[in-house]
Amino acid sequence: MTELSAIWLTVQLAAITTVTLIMVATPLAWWLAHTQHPLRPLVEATTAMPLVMPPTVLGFYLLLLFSPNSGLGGSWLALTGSTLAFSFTGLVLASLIYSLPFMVQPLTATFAQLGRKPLETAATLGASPWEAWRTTILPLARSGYLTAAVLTFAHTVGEFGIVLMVGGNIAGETRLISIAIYESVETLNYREAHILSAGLVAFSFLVLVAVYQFNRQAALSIAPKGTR
Amino acid sequence: MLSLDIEAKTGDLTLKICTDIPEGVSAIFGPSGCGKTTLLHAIAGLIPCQGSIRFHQHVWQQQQSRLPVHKRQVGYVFQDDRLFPHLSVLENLRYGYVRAQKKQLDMRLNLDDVISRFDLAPLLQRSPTTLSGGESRRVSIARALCAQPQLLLLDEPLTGLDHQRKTEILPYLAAITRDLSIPTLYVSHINDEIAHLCAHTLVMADGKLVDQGDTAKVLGRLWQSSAASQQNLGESGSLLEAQVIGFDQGTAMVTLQLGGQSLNIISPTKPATAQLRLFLAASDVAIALEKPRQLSIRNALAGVISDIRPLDGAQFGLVAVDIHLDSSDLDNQNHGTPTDKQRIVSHISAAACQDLKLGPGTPIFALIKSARIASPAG
Repeated sequence: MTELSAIWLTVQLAAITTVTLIMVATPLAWWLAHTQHPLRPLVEATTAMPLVMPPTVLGFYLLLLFSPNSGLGGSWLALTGSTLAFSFTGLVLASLIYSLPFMVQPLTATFAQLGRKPLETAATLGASPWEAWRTTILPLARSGYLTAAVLTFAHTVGEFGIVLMVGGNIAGETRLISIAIYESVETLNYREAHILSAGLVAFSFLVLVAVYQFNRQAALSIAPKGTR
Repeated sequence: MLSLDIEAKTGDLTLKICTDIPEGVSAIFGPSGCGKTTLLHAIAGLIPCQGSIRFHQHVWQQQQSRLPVHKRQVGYVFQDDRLFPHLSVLENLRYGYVRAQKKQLDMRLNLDDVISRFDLAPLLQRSPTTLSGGESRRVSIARALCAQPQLLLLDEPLTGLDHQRKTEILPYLAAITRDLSIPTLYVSHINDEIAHLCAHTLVMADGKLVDQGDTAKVLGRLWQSSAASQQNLGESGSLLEAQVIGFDQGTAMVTLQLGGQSLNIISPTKPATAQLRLFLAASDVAIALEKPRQLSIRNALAGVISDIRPLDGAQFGLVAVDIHLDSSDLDNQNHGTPTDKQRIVSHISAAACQDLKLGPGTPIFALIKSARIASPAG
């Protein structure tokens, strides 16, 4: 079943991208939410670029960057013995870039809304800066993290233009669900296209329902036991 | 106790304070926006400032080296409570408590003691989001104490609460300041709170210290400079110190003695101390030339007018009458030379002042409704 391998590959890509981005985007979003630095608008614009650029444009430049003739692609080849372009690693790198705003923006909004007050309060109660962050901001930003993670995961699953440009269509290596659907339609294999497409629609819907349900419970459980 | 020589800038305000604050409870008094909160933030280390801060023998700040907030052991009660919404009331209280235990600080305040002192037992499992304004203020003060502070910073702890909530919290504050002997800075722009709780007062305006000293004397000077009304500093008034000589549970009346004259006030409970500090708002004091009869106002204190000044600004058309109360108490060493504690101020209309032909030296009776005297703390 080529569909199964495409589904599994897509889930892997989306999961790796989401987990990596949570770690990368947290400090970036925190900085964006609180800094007065003059470079802030520049950084903010850069992280938002993937939102407004046509995916094929981004894909084209990433392909050039990943090719063995470029600095990055060349040194990757020298270090690992494999090319970045048309590889799963290349797809992960590309996904990290194009999904970045979907993680950074909800987190920035959440951090900005929480402000520094919880940290200040925790500090006056004797908590060191990291401890204060971990015990106040992190739990208070829970629903922001969930929203960001779901958006990132879903967006990574659904992306087409960039993965086609960067990854191509190698079964088991770069052939993702969206590529498989496109190929099925091209070859007039509508049955397989239907299965994958309807599957994606159902998946997206179920995930959203689960998220909204979780957020509702999170909002309620901010009030501890015995008060509901 | 606390030596400050600091300068800080926030927005339009430049804070520049150089002073020594003594042990005990000190009020920081001044109009909104004069930098009171900024000063507390600087002391706690929450905002960067230049200069030096010393607390007893500890250096909190000296030029570029600053002790971080979490190592200063300051208890800060913020104006907006700032309870952690994701934790229960008990977890909020334990937040600072367990950290103090881990650091092996001197645990002077036991968690259970604080809970019972603030009557928090019924609230422990509740979420802060479900508490009333008065309850969350109580939890907030208790939480700051649980962290075993060496210095307590209270930023307008009674602001935004209605009269009933204030009378609910004032006794707790009075008890802290009386029993726990934690040095405290109490920020307020309401002078009767200060009169009740604070022995020492600092007056701020535009980021600077304009006066400092014994609370009764500072409030007296404030009136004389008429700065209080110009700076919109709550009500002007006077601070009296009186002896408790009786309490009638049935009528909830406390009888006080003030230089040989008696004064009745309403209080639900018998005052805990023999000496009471009272704040009399100037607008609550009326003036009569004869001792009135058949009047609901029960307090008529005999005195002599020492000075009359017109008030300006928002209080146009009013005059402030400075009254020295008669003292029949022959043991009183200050007999004949009234101190600040035997002076009261009354605001009356300029027209009434003319009709009654009041002037310096006129003997009068100062009329005060018992109900209008704030029930004193503790």
